Amino acid sequence: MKSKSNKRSPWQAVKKALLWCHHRWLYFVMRTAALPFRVKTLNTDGSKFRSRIKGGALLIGNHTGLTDPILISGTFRGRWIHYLVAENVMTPGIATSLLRMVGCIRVDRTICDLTSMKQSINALKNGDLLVVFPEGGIRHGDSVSTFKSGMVLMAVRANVPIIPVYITTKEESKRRYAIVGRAFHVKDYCSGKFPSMAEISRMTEEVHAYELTLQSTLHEILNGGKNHA
Amino acid sequence: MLDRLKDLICQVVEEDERFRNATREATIFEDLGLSSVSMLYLVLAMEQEFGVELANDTIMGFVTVGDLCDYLEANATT
Repeated sequence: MKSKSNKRSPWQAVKKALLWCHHRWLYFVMRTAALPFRVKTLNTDGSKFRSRIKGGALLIGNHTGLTDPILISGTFRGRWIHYLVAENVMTPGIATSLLRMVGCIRVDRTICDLTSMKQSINALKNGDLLVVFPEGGIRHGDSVSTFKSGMVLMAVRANVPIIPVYITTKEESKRRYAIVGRAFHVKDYCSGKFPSMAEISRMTEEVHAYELTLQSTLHEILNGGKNHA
Repeated sequence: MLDRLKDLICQVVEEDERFRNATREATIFEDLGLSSVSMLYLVLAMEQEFGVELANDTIMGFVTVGDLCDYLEANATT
């Protein structure tokens, strides 16, 4: 949660207003970009999802294509969302500058990238949403690969919940659907000043298992229209 | 410093004899068997515990436990 200072200088107020305008403009751009993709977002009971997430949270999901970030931005209304983007996508150039402008954080998967880890943790601590695709890359088809545990480490250090999202395309209509699951709270899995890697790994496995459950639930909703509690 | 570092490794990764018995010459990834995520976690914990601030360039230079100890001995504020 963002802390509010009681005494703010006029310049700080102007900066905050300019940043708000910048974020709203970019949010409008992302929402507009999401329009052609006609994504419908559901809860696990099949009802329409309406984002009521307050404060920072880590959104994780399967990664089926380059449009996934745009789809997710269209789902969470009015929130500033950061995206973790691989080093081979954010190569030096104008496109990378634009990606940074819309909140993308470059991660170099070939090294222990402390810089991106810290930027991610700071974004979460700042009360923003961060989208991570923990499979480590785009995976075509229905399978959900093993999740890397770095995303749980971010959530642990920032003390924010992890919210799994599953995205799929209905073959008949080619419409994209997303289902948003329950939040995983760090305190339910990790304890102490420095939770152990075993606790982090266990949380990673449970989030992955839940993602598979979301996959089944969404397919069941789309194929049978069955309600789920 | 070596003992404090070994305590931190055991706390962050897991309580294991290979960490307790590690020498300064032990390599981080081969001998200790740390993964990249474990290494990142250890570095974040080192920053919090020892009051240091690390960067990617610095981490890439850490090969052995001794490298970590030397850095901490030179830069730790707590």
